[in-house]
Amino acid sequence: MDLSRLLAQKHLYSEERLVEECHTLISRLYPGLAVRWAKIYGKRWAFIKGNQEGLSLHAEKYQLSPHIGIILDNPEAISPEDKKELLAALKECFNHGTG
Amino acid sequence: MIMSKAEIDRWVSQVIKPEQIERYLVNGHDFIDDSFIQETLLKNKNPDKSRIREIIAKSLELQRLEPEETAALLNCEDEELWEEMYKAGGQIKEKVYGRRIVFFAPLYISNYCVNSCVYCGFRSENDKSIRKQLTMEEVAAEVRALVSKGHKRLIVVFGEHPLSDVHFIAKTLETVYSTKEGRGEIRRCNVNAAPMSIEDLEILRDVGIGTFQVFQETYHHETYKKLHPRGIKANYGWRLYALHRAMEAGVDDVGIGALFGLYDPKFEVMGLLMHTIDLEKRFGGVGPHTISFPRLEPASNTPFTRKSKYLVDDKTFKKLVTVIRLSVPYTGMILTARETPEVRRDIIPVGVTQIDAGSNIGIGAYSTDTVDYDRQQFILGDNRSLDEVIREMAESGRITSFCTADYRCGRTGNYFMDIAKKGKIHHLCMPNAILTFKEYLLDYASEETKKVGEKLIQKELEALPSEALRNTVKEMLTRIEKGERDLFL
Repeated sequence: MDLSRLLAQKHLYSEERLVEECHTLISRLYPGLAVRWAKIYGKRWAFIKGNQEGLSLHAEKYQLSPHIGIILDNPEAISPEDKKELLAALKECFNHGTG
Repeated sequence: MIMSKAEIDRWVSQVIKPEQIERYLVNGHDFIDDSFIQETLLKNKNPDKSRIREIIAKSLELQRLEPEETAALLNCEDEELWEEMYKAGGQIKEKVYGRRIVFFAPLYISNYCVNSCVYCGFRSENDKSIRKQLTMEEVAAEVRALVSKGHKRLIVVFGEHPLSDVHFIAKTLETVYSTKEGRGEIRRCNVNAAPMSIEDLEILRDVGIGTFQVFQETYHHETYKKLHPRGIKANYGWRLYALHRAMEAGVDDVGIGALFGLYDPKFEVMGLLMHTIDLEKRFGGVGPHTISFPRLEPASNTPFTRKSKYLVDDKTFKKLVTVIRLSVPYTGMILTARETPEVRRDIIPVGVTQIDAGSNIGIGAYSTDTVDYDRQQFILGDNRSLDEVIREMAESGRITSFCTADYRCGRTGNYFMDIAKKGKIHHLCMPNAILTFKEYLLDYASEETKKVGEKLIQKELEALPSEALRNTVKEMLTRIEKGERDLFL
């Protein structure tokens, strides 16, 4: 997937830029998947960017690094295998992602 | 605990960062133009019926009003139209937030203060005030006492003093969040404290602050100057931009407020609106998360609280709250236990979204269950227990919510405002209210409250907008009955 190409370049990007790049990539790879990005401060998940259309009853949230989280508003839009792969790649990106 | 006057003075002298006021000024001026407000109020005297009805219709579409429109509502003298406005206020609240009402508790941590607000029992010159600051062990004891009553949301309150600086506040938040009692814990901790620099606010952001609340008290420059003659709080601009700095620091839920009774209340409502407009303008449409409108209450050894010529009577107060509701339809509104039960019964239906109950504002008073006026900032009007107030709300068809899901799910700032403005937030508020209310009924409620509450839950389940949602909530309720806690959408 294109994320692997991004992974190879992750050291070049700041965390904010990485969110932008990942968001663009996810939109391209999974056009039907609605995601939101959040900056994590203790209990607070502060909205950064992403889906603002409607509310989800089955949202799933995942912590990608100590500071960044992603919320999948419609996780059913991708297969469990794709979701697993996507989250693993994102976690790798953000755990070591700051340039 | 003891600090020398020189040490305190040194701390005071470095609090205000002038560049963190100046960066927001436009041509050297702040966004409160006293003359503009006075003129707008004057120009919109005697509004005709059709104009008022047009403005009400705009509010019902969940659009924020412009200053001229708010001024027209404030100047309305037709009681028939006021009845229409009260009704519209209630409809707006229900459209945005549903029939739920959020409960919280205030927790006073420290009343040491370097300021001299003439209306405040905590002012530094008040020798009658017994000074106290909780230790972290005492904070934990207070939290355990509150949690054991069923509370999930707090607002912690601090005087402005080097002993309760940002590091102390951060430590307090950490203590609050890490204290457990039985099956409960505090899930959201808001802060009411003095204005801070962006750097200090980042410290509070990092420990998971809920809403940061700073009230301007009065927006009228000259009155502000008279009532805050000395101390850090004498700087109007430092306080006015406290929440702009919070937003810049990434604390994207902020609460504004005015203390009614210090100056012309119509001016203060206009000030609250101008504050909202400026925040929205500068932060991508994100205004205040909540608006508070406390009335001046008697305080120990503080004669000003009884002699101010701007004290607001109950009837006028209801009108002011209604105009705030109509002016900023999508923002949370807080009515505290300063007010008597009778006043709260009358005002809540015009659009209030949050209240406190079972409150004790004495420092260290929850764990000892005592009342001591000399340790309080003012005197409370509603001393009923949390259970009593929750039951009364349920009897009137309002479901108690202890929901804290939004800020734990990335529904903050721009995202929250956007869905609130579209009138969609109640799609989550009502299910989450049902779930947290169920927890309360199972773990803390009296038998009487349980009976009323269970009936209300059944009614609200039936009223959920879809079968799918109803089934999801029912399944979660079953899990709660089996012992799971903290479930939310």
